[in-house]
Amino acid sequence: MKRNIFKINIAIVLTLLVSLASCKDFLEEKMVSTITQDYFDTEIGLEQLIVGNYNTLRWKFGFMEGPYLFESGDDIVEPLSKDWAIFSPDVWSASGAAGNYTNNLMGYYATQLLGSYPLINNCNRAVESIKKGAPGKFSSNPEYANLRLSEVYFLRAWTYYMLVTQLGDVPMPLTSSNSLPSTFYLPKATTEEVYKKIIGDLRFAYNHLPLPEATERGRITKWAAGHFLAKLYLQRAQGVAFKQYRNADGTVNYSSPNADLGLLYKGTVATDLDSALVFSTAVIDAYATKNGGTYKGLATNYWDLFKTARGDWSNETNAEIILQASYGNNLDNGRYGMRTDAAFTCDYSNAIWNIPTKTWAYGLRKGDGFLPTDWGYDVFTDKLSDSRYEKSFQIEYKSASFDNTTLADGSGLVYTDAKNKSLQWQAKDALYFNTNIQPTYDRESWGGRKAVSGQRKIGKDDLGLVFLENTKETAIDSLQAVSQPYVLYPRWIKSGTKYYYRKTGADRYLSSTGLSLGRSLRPSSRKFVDPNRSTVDNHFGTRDVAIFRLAETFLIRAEVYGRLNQYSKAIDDINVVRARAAYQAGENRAEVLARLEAGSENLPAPERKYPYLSGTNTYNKIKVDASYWDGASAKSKAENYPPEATTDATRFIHFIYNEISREFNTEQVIYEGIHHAGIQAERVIHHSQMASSKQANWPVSDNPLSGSGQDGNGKGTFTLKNTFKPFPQSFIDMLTDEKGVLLSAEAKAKYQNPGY
Amino acid sequence: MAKIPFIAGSYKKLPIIFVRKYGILLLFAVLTTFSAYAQQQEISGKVLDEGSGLAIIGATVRLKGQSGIAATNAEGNFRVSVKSFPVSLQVSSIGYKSQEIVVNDNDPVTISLPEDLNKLSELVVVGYGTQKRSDLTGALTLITEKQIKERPVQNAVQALQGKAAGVDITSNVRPGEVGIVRVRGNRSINASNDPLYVVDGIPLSAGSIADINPNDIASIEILKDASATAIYGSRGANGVILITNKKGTKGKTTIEYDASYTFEKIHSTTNWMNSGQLLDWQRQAYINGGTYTGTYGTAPDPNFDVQTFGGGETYGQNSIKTAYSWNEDGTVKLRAATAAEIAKGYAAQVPVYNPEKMFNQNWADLVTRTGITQNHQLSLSSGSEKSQVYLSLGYLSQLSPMVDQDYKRYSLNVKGDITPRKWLTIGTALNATYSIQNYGVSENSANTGAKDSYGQAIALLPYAPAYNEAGNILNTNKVGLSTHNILLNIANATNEHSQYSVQSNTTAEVRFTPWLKYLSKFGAQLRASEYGSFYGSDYTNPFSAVGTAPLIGYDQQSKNFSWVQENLLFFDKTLGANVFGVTLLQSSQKNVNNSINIRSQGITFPTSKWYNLAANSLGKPMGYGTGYSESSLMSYMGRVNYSLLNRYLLTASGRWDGASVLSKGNKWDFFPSLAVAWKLEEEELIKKIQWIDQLKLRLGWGVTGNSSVSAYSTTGSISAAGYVFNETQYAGYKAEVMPNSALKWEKTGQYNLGLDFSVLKNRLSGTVELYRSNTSDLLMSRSIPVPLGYSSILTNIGKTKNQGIEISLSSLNINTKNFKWRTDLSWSTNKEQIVELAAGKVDDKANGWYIGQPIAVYRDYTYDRLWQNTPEDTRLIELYKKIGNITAIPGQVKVKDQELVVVPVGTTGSKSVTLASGEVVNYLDNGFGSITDDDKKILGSNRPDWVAGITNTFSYKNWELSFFVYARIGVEYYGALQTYGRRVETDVWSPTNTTAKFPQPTTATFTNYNYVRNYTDGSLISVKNIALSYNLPKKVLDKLKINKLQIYGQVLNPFIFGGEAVKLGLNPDDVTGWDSTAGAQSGGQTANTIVNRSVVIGLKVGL
Repeated sequence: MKRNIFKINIAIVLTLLVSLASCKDFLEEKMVSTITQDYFDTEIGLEQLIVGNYNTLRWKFGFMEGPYLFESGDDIVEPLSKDWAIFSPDVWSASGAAGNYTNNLMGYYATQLLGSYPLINNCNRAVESIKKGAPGKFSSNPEYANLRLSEVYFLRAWTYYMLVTQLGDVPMPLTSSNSLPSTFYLPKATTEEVYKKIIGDLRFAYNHLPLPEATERGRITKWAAGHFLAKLYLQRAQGVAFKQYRNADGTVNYSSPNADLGLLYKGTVATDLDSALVFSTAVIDAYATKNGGTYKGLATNYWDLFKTARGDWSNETNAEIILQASYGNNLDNGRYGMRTDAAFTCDYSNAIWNIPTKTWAYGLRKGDGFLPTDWGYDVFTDKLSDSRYEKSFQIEYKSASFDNTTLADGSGLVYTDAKNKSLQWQAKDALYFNTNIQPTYDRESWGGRKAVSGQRKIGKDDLGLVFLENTKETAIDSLQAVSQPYVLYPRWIKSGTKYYYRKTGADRYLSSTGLSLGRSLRPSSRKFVDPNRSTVDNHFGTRDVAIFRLAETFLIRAEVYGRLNQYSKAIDDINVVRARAAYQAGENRAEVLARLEAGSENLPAPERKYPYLSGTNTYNKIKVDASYWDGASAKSKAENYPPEATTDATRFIHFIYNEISREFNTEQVIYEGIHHAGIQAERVIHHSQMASSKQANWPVSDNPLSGSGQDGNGKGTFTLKNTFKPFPQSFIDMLTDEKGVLLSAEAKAKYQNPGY
Repeated sequence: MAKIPFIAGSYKKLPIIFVRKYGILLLFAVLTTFSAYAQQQEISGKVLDEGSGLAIIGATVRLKGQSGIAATNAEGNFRVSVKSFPVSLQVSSIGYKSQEIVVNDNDPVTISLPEDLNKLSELVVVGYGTQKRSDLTGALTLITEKQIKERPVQNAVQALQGKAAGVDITSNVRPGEVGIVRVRGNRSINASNDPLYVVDGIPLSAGSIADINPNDIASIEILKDASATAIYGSRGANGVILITNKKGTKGKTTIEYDASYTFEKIHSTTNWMNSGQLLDWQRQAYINGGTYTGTYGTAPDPNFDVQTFGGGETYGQNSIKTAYSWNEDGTVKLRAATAAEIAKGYAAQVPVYNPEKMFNQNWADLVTRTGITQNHQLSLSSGSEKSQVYLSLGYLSQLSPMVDQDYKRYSLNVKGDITPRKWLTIGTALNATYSIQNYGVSENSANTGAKDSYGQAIALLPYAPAYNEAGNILNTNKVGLSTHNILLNIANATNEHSQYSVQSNTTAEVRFTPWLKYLSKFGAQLRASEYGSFYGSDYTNPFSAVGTAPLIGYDQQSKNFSWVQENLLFFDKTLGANVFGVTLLQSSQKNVNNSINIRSQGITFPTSKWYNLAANSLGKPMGYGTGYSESSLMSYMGRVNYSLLNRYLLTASGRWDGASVLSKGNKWDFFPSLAVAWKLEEEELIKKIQWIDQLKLRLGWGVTGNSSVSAYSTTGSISAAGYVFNETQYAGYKAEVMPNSALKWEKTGQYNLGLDFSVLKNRLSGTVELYRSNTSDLLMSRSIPVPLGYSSILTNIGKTKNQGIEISLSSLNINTKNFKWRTDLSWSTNKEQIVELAAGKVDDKANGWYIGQPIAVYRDYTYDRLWQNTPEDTRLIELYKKIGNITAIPGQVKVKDQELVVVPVGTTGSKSVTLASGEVVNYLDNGFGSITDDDKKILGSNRPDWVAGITNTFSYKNWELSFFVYARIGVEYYGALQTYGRRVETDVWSPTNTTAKFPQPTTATFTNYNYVRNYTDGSLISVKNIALSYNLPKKVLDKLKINKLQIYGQVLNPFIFGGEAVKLGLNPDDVTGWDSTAGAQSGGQTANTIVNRSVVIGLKVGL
């Protein structure tokens, strides 16, 4: 009996245990550290969704995709990766690296980088939330709702603009998607349809966005929308000429060799140039008194836009900037922070020039990187008068080293320090220096010392590494070059009757690097070097990057005036930019410019002495007039127009983009310009030797290095097809027709961009 | 324990030894006999192991026909009262054949038990219970304690390698880490392929297999086929590994001490070039490329060499200078060149150059040592009728042969049960472990770059010095050849992982009636891990990782907690020839993980490492975060075992599983299984065949699942995407995961046909298994066109198939009293195939998945040959240049392309080019001339065609010698050029060696396809160990008053043989990290140029 009671007890316990464990919600999944997308239907969730969408402005600068898509394929910058630079068909294919990078633009890295289509989906979601649910403030305050809607419209327009620039016709979803559809039928919208939509949205935004003074810095303003509209109207007008390469139904005529130009056609609207004029003028007038009004709102010194130092971000607030990609001064800036800081830097560290380590101030490079083409330097036709050359490029490096213990830059070692491993003087070059250079070499750090054979050349605060971008005609004698009190890297040296192109070898031009090898030692862009990056070995930059700035508005309006045949007004606008570009009286010049640059011998003697001050304002030397594109004058010839530019009108257009090259090099702006203007291919083929297949277009050197050196011939395969990227093969392979059937090979070929 | 008839028939032939004991004892016995006349008499005796003559402890001695039972004590002695003589004594002990002897008087007896070669009567652990081996219906491999102890192993996974057919286990030499275990191949593409570990009946979820001391394990059972694993339902798809820890034995108290010392050295399988050889190689590349522009023609020029190879830094440059002879004034000594030298391009006067004299730094030596692994275990086991306890303390200290890696593990294991009433048993087990691992110089999770200090050391050039003139570690401040001086980095890097782990369980068993019992189990596991890293100011950050820059400290702590509650009912009933068994289960399980991490840069006090992260130069962390996830599982299971006439066996089970990680409405699923077996040996026809001892045919089918998706993947999560306005961080969010309301279980259905046999008086026994498994509804991250707003979605799409054969054989080749030779062999082959993918039977190139192929395959260009300097090739090279802009040069790799088909001008689909000679070539535009994706082919896979392990054991008296050979055959391996340019390689192309195996090194630029030459044969045969052990004879033991003393010595990994990869000096056995991606060609431990060779000495003492 007792035993039975026990059994019953056990049974009760058992039942209890079972029922406890099978509580109904035991398998219910409760979100704890993550939330579901219903959050976007709340007021705060919607606010935060809109904030999240701002990340599209960082896309070009967050990883290497930006430079790979928006710099390779222009004529002033080239990728250091050889296969990229020569437009190797292996790379430039739908399944090659170019296809992969396009995939990333479209959104492969959706989870990390917020690529275009995931971002568009989020924008669509935000538009729907504002228009349909309108939680809280979004329904109680229609003005506020319109303001936020305008931001979303802008961000979506910007994202479509990036896609169209790289791919031409693209799918244009305008509603959000949240479940798997039964088919992958994604027909493309024509660029005409896309431009119509985004111009319409931006017109709405222009009317509802606040002025810069009325919102946080980094938010979209009325003038950002105005500048963008001016640009889009101009581009639509630029494309009108290419209507002939589209079929009547708007599709691209694949049988035309100029099919790619057809992709640039965005519709014909007669008033576009006038609209561009209206919006650019509105922006220009609104900014006229900024920065004291000295240069009609432009920064008073070009360098003010880029200067930075450890703990200094003052450039970010310059009033010339209309729109920027914002990065916080702390390091919480998405996956990589601002990574462009590591894209354009050369290999400057070497003990032989007394810069043994990477430093905060000179930055670093990650991956293969990008450096200017020769034309990227030569587009500065007067380096002694246009200060943008030395402000854009690091042409001189002072001795420096990084102190691992204090995590700070230090100046380099004194030349007598046993640890100083810089180049030693040899008898021959010491003699040359003592005879020809030392008597007038009054650099403060040098202290007037004589060269002594066997001694270290570069001491504390001396120049360590210096670049001279000369031409074959102005080649420097190799003894003179090697006798400088620093390591000089000239593009051309001559030795007797021999001319050598870009010889390196850390010191004495022993190595025949030439054109295709070891291309990482050239003047590099200073614009994005970030002394406030995470660590000295790393990128994770913190500086904002200007996306629109007023100088571009002037050059947009100048082109519009030109196209309207009002050249004198165009010249006025160009000269606003030029006036600011000049050296101001009392401004320093780089030593290499003052002492070695061709033409420096004509500088007044005081300007050739340390600290190499410019005695006068040089604006008059670079002030533009119509002779710059007349085809005959020296000024016009120096602009090196492609042979296709045979009229004043076409040369003027090229001049505008030469000027944008000078003003905006490495800012990922020039690509869009020459691309939409339809002159990308002719410029690249004429100017970029690595990309071009043109023969005998460049000077020949005596170190041709078994075909891969400077033999005067282009090394690449660039054609019109390379002005657009291929759709990624993996993307096209997934697509279906309306019925859900995978695309046939023929349909795929039609979806793909011409030539791929 | 049931007595098997054919044994009973043979016992009389076995020798029974009667031994007269000492006189006094005899006298005493006689006296006792008389005094206890008629009512109480006694028999005493001793039970011995027939082979070794050692006492058998805990053997049961039963009186046949009379009530009376006794167990032998620690000396093997027993004493039992008898009513009358003669009486039959039945003596049995696990692992021995039972013996029956007739005793006529009360003289002390000694009974020797022979080892039981027939394992059929053994009880083996199956899911939720135990079964007699002969009654098994599923495919199972048993690894005994003896097998585990054959080799000194640091973890349970290592012990299984090569021992179980169908179980592929890779090596992982890093102390504290375990290899990858795959049971019958890979099924799943995105979900996990790891098996389920069940320790003492409780699934490991928060705990880790690395925390289990292999010396505490009594047995490991691997359930392979679905009919056996379906009992674990949703988690059974990848096989189940049941681990049973030791426990106390009734009537037996033992104390054992095991110790082993392993001395391990890194043996390089690659013959590396020394400084002089390497400098010559590099110079030759310049000469071949036409870029050696020194002042002495092609003769070595110190200026050029220093300039080009010196790394732009004095130490490296000075090393190069040591190859030359120098005059007092610092100029190089010159000599006249010979005519032969001048003929090959030397100048008339050339520098005196002697590469043999050149400074040579052996970097590998600097980072290696003789690693010593000590393994100590002290265990106590004791048991009475009512309670049993097992207690052990373990200490493992592993010093890797790499100077910067080590591992220590302290473990405590307690297991015991009490039977306070006849109907109740309460048991508890506790396993507590603390371990600490010095991971080594850097954690490199990237696909490229060395993974450890040895890899980094061999990447350094032999003419880069490690020390400065003063003999201190050289720090060149990140310039030159010694930039990433490994000694500097070792001194400046700390990467420490520590784990605190507790696994415990409590059971209560209530026996209501002899046929009905209830079992309740509760298990809890807690594992707390900490990872701390710190990099000193001179760390050179070789992989430029953000978190490993100098003066960065990082601390990550995580806690995994899980509990399991199970209620089981067992019915067992025999009705005539029918034996029924029913098992019912209810189970619930919960897992909770949380973590926290902080990273700070510019640590103020380097000595504080990661212990004071607030003291940093920024005044705030550079990164921090916390994480949390929770998941739960619930199950009901029922199983029926039925046996008819001990001849026909049937097992059927069904399990319902519900998982929280799956979507609503799809959380629950049903996993059935059915297996039948036919014990042919019980049939009269077979019984007549004398030489057949066992012949059992099994057929099983079952469905298992896999829900290894991470928590929160179905509801559409969002993630942070903040942005900055006015230099202020604003919270921002974006949609991250497309919701999938249809996500359900990935399922595997498997058929298994098995044959167990034992013949020739059990001298040869074995198992053959054939299986096929089909996995469907693969949990797959499927790429979708990104205009949908997402690039992928986790869905149930696609199918895979695995089929294979497994053979296990065990043979006692020679069996004499003093000498025995035994062979155990396992062989298996598995074919893994993708059957369907997202778009049906269509390859998914983006992910590298191909229909009909294993999940990871190599798809690439095919190596054709080397380009030659012939007129035909010169023409072909020009064609490639003209058509595809491909620059080819003789001596470099040519890959297979479409054929050149020359056709008449005007043929449709043809093109023409004009060569420099004026020849117009009109060719079919079939893809010839350009190398595109279409030219790629599937080259093979890193899955072996077959795997085998063979162990031979010879024993002679007290000596035993065994060796274990392991083979992985038919593996495609990527790496033939991995060491090219650093290894001594003479078979390179030159105009005079045109049939060479390898391309010519050159600095010339060309369209490089040389990497394709990397694909090669990675087959491997490895002698894993040779072991010799000696048991002290009984006489000596008695003198020492101990029970058992064994000493042994082993050599681990003495030899390796294999295909081209092995011949080139690679060890393809270590594939750690090479498996996860479809490309599967990058990554991996750089340990693949070494074999870790060890010598072990060990001692086992039983008191």
